[in-house]
Amino acid sequence: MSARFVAPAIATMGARSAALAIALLPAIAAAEPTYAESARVAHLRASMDALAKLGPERATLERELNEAVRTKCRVNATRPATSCMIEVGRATCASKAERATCIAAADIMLTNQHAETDLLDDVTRMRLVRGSTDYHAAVLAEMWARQALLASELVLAPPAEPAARLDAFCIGRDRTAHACEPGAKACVPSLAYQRCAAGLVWFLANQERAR
Amino acid sequence: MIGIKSLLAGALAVAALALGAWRGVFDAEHFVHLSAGSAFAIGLFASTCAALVGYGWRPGSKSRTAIAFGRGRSATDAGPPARTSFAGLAIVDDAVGPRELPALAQRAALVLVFATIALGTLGNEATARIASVPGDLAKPSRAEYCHPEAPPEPDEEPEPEALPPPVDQAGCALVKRAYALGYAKSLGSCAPKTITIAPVKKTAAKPVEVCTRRQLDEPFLHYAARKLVETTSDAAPVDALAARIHDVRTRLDYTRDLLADIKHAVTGTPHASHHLWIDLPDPHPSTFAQRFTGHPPCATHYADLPLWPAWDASTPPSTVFEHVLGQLLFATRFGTTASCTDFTIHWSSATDACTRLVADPTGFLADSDAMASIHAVLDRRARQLAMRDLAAALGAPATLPEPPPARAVTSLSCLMFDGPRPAATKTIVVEGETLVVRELHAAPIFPTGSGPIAVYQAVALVLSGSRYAGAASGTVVDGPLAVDDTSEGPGDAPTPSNAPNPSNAPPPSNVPAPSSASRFQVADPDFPLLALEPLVEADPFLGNAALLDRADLVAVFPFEQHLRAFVDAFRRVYLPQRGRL
Repeated sequence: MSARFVAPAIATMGARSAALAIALLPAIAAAEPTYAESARVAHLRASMDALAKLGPERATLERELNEAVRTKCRVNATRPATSCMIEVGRATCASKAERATCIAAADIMLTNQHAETDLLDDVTRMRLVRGSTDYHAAVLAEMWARQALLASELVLAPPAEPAARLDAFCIGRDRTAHACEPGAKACVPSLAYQRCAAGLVWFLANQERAR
Repeated sequence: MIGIKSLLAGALAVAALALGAWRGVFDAEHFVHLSAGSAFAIGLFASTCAALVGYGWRPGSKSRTAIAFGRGRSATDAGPPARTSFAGLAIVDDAVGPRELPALAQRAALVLVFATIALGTLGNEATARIASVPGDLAKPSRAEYCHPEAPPEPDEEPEPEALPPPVDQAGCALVKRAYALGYAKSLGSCAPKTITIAPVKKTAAKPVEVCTRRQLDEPFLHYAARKLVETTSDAAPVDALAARIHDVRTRLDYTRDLLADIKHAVTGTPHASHHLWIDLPDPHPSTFAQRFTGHPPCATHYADLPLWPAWDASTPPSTVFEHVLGQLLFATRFGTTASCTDFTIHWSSATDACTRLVADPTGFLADSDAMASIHAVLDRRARQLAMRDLAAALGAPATLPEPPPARAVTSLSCLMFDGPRPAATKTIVVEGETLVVRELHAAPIFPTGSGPIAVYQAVALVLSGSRYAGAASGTVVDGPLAVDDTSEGPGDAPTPSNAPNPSNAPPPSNVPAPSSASRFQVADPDFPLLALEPLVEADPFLGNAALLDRADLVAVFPFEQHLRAFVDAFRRVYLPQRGRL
């Protein structure tokens, strides 16, 4: 079953059926190249549904993943290896009741955590270390500000189904210049597709809570 | 039948009255605040204008054109025929005995019109400014006359005097009396307090500038004599004349250079001339219409280049090459650019172009239509040097900067996509200047997958003479190609996997070893986004180009970051090698 036919079907499903779609995701990916458009959109849709389904628990899962990555994957101050983070994600979700939902959400969370050292420069991170008692919460807040800027750009994108719109926006954004002056607050530089997509999915899932 | 002049005078008067009432110029308050000068100016304007217009108006004469009202008793029946008629109105030329307002009434209407205009425009300030015009015109200008200096602003504030202590402080009368009688040893808090102010820092006095222009009360002859004496008193006339002759002779010696320099400026000689011979056909061959309209400016080709076009196997290789050249040199998204008018691409050249160029530089350049622009640039540079020599001979500071070396403003390169061969650098002499010729033979172009990466590397190598060694490398090359000749022979069959190395030569020692594509496991069905993260560090220009052979990865590959690093590193090496006159 090709993801080209599965993706529109998932869009019409309810939250209950989304779990089935998440469970089918590996099969979809195996049937078609992992990063073909339909597969990308299907994965983004599944991640959005997973984060929505987790509800308030997503913050708990996010912190749990961060703690696990910090203790198992960080060597000195270097960025954790993605292979280690993937293992941490699998191990963390193995004990969860809804494993597929957990993994789809963990992909978003771990991608954001892996990107944070590039999105936040050294000066900002030093400021957060000095000025906050909870460093991870401060990092999330700082990332939130950048994700909000991205979301404001997304609003201007041509209307489409949310996951497809987000995918098209993030694919196209890295194909145009986004040069920022050093230290510019209201400017998000060019972003790799996965960072743009993960940041926006996280922001959209949490914006209801933020209101 | 009413005369046209009476109708016009009445209509103008009514319109002026309506406009004046609307603008409020007939308000009593307006008249109360009117100065005597303004009232006089309004009256003068109204009467003068009315007199001038009234002279041509001739209120005492009947109008020749009239308007006839009503159909029943139309003047057209008895008098001259109507020119036009509409809605009961008829315009009659050469009307006989039309009714007119009295001449005095017509004049009064004209006066009313002009008085209303003057009331609306000539306020007190406007009148005052008009009145001051003759005085301003007659005032001596500051460029010709010495004006009295404005009184200097006080540099220092007058020393503030210390405030006297209050005579009677509240509650201190008894303490003071006890102190005066000797019952208390001190006044305590009732002692007189003196307020002191920090001294103001004095600024240095400004030097007084002596004015040598004409004084306000100085007769012209005295001023002329003074200037004559000043001019001739400091130098001996014979010496001054000799210096003048020397200047003229020196300039005459440089006449050809002076004229040529002017000619270069007027005719717009190129500021640099860089030539690239390539064995691919022109992707924009000249059309018949362009023989008349001219070619579109080269900048329009490169104004809006897509970052990474979605080419397929049918894309012409020359389109890929042109895109890569534009990205490397002219795309503004990557910062400072080169000037595309300085570059000439010789399409469809023979693969042995550089061999022939080295064998017979002048003849080959002439045959390629390259000699004219190279000669113009070299000549322009030589004239600039001559102008600097002229300034030195005259003892004056040079007005032109030191021109860049000839090899910086002219360059000759050959890039042939006929199979990898050792890169070569040679020198030739053109018009007495030594120029560098760079030659590179690269693998044929593959428009898809990692193919464009090889084109980027080949073009960057032949233009800058150095290989890309990462964004942080500080490679600086001036002249020869920084490659070795240990490459394999020309018989290699190029494939996309070996294409990124344009000459199949091993990279220099400072280049990181190419990492295998398998190092990046970009396929994890559970974590597809996280699995893409290694691509951020997988520079396709440093051995990771094979990743681009996966079609689905091309869409999500972070090209902007890697391409920016590559082009930035290229321009940091290339642009300092080049210059413009």
